[in-house]
Amino acid sequence: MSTTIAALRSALVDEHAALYLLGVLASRTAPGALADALASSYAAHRAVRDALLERLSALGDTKPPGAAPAYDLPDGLGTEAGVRAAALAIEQRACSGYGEQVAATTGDDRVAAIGRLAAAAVRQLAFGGTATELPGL
Amino acid sequence: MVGAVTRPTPAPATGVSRRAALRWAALAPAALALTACTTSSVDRLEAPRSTPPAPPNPDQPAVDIVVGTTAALLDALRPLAAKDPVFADLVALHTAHLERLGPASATFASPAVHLDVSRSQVRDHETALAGVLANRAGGVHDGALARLLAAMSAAVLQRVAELEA
Repeated sequence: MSTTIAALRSALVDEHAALYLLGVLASRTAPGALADALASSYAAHRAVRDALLERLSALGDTKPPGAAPAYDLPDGLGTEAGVRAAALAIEQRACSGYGEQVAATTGDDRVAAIGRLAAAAVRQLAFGGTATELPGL
Repeated sequence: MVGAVTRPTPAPATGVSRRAALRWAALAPAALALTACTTSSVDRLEAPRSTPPAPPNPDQPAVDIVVGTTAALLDALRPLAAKDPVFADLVALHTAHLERLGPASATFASPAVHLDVSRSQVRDHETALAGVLANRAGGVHDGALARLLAAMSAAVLQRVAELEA
C-alpha cells in the first residue's frame, strides 16, 4: 500500500468518527449559534469524507475503510459547554490528522490537506478554541 | 595522496643477481597493487576533507521566501503593536514562526509593507502571507517542513478570522 493511500485511508477513518460524533452533538443542541457551527462543521467533514472516498477510488482502493457501527462518546454532553468542548476536540484532532496528511502526501493530495487543516483550525474558534501558534502540529 | 605511492627499488646495476632482479620484476606489479590499495584506503578515510560541500537544500529557496515575506510584514506590524492587542498578537506569532524557521540563507527582496492602524489592511496582508505559506507548503520536498508551513498558514488564518469577527 502506498504512503498516500495509507494516509488517505487513515484520514477517512478519522472522518467517519468525526461525522458520527458531530451528528450526536447536533442532536443534543438546541437551535442557535452552536447548532449552526455544528452544522457547518458536519457539512465540512462530510465533504472531506466524500472527497477522500473519491480519491481512494481513483487510486484503485476498492475497499476503503467504512464507518464503525458506533463510537465512544465523550463525557459531559449534557451541557452546552460539554458539547462545545467535544466539538472543539473533534476539530483539534482533525487538525492533527490533516497535518499528518500534509507531511505524508505530495501534489494535489497535499494541497487538499493544507486547505483542510486551515479550515479546521478556523472552525476551532467557533467552538471556543483560541488561536494557536501552530495548529495541527 | 599521489606522493604516497612508492615504487619498488630498481635493481642496482651491480651486486644483484639476475635471479633477484627477476624476482623483483615478478613481485613489482603485486607490490604496486598493494601500494595502490593502501593509498586508496587512505583516500577513502580522508575523503571528508576533500569532498565538495553537500548539495544545497532544495527547500531553502522556499524557506528564504517565507522568511523574507514574514519578516517584512513583521517589520511593518511592530510599530502598531501597542495600538491594538490583535496586532501585538500577530507580532508575537510572526516572531515565533521566524524562530522556528531559522535565518534565511539569502536575502529575499520582499517588498516593504506599509501599514496604518486599519485592521482591514492588516487582514489583507495577513491573508496574503497565509497564501504564501500554504503555497510553499504545497511545493517543498520535505514533508515535515510542509507540515510546519501549513500549520503556520493555518495559524495566520485563525488571526485573519479574528480580525474579521
